[in-house]
Amino acid sequence: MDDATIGGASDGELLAQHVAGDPHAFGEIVRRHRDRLWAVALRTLGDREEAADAVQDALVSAYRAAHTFRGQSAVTTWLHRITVNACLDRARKAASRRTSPVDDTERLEQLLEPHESAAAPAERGDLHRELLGALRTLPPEQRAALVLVDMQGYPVAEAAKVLDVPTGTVKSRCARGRARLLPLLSHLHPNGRGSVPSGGGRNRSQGTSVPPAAGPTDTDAVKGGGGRA
Amino acid sequence: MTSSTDTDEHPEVAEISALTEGLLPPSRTVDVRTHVATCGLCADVQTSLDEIRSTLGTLPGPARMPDDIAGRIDAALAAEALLDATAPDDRASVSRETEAAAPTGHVSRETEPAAAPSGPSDPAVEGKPSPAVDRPAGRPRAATGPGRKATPRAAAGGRVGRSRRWPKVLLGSACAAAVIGVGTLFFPGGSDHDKGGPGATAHADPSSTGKATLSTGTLKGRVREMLADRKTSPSRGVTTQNTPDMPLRADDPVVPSCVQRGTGRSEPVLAAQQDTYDGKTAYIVVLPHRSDSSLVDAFVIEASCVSASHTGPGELLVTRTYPRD
Repeated sequence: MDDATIGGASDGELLAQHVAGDPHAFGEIVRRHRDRLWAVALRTLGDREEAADAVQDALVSAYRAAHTFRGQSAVTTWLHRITVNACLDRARKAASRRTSPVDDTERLEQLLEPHESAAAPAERGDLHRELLGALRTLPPEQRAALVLVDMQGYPVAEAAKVLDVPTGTVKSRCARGRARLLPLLSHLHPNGRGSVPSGGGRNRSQGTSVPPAAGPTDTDAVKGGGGRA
Repeated sequence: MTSSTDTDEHPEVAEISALTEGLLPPSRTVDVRTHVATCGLCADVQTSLDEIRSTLGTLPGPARMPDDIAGRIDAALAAEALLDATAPDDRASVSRETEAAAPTGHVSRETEPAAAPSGPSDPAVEGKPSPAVDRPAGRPRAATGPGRKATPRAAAGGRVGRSRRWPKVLLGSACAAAVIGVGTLFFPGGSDHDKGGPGATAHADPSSTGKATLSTGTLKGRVREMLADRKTSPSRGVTTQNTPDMPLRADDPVVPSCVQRGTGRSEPVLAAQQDTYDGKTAYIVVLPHRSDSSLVDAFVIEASCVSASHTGPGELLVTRTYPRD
């Protein structure tokens, strides 16, 4: 099979060629999509080794199951779905066996590009680190939705196909995920005054939830909402 | 318009977040929107939520799959291709047979659901995403429990033949091992010739391995030794049967069940050994890799679950994948 043919073929054609026995076709599909699959897996799992295992399991599984692909979704959607499912399985597993406190900082560093620590303003980098750390505390389903939609920028409809849920479910997972992240992000509260205990969901408790040293605009701090001082 | 009581009743953060996504029922949408428009606090919440969304979008992330991982995946796929090439009765015929015979449902459903998404707000789906779809796709460690040994492989590609290969090999060597193992029970004196002997291996004290404590750096070498030991002196793994809290099974090296559960896997163990990891007593457990028979997965599981009264699985300290030899 010459490369020109492979290079010009669509994903669907390549998958068909793979099923027909072309030894190179699946490799080309992998080359086209592995970087995006990797990004999704790494961000969903937050751990390099776990992510590598998940993507490998997923691609091997796709390799074997290619003959069952029915072309009702795009090949890339199908690959993403297999990968995300592999990640969710692993994430649930990890949650059930209690995440060990092993080098969380180190893990977070892995997730940021090397240039980040050097180039980005320290404060920005801190926010990123904090956000990644907070993401890890979300339920895997919410995390996966945020990874696909907010981080990777997939359209909600596409994310819904990948996750195999209705679009409304994707939106609600994203909305709840963001709401859950908010109280965890002290960096969204200048002067550090906004670290509201995560239980303090109701901002009725204005007076009580604001720390004494909250600064001049006390009332803004309620419910971690004060980003605008 | 807004009464003063409205301002007191701040909506939940989750509601403000849902408002942005257009998820609230129409009447509530009006209420919350009106409130946010007149309430500085809640407007701030909304702004912060937007900020979270945009920050997530600008988070620096991996641009490319690292070369080592890309290489590892290529190798795994090449191994698949090799199996295809060496097994003449391959995909076309075999998969068709197994499909007809057995678990067709699993794999094909993987592709089906995309075409048939359920209604736009089916709450039942939430929190329980596509269990049927999960299994063949992930076929990962999560799939534990008795009886899963054969099905995932079969489901994933109809390669029933191959999935049985390893267990068979293991069974052969393990039977031989069992004979030797039993011998050492009857003639304890002879155990001196064995590395460790029954008493020592039962809870394999670290000294029996003769090495300093384990670390991720030395794990690879240790796994290699363990696999080599399995080939040359199979009695080693089997003498661990002499421990009261271990089930008496003759077909593979035995580890305490809570340790095995800590691996998240239920298939027969290739090799297992007790050691010290990071100051903790731990078991190294080696299992065949799920998808590539030239690889093994090594797990380091904390051993404290053996004596502890609780019955949870042993804590996984580290896991790695290595070439088999």
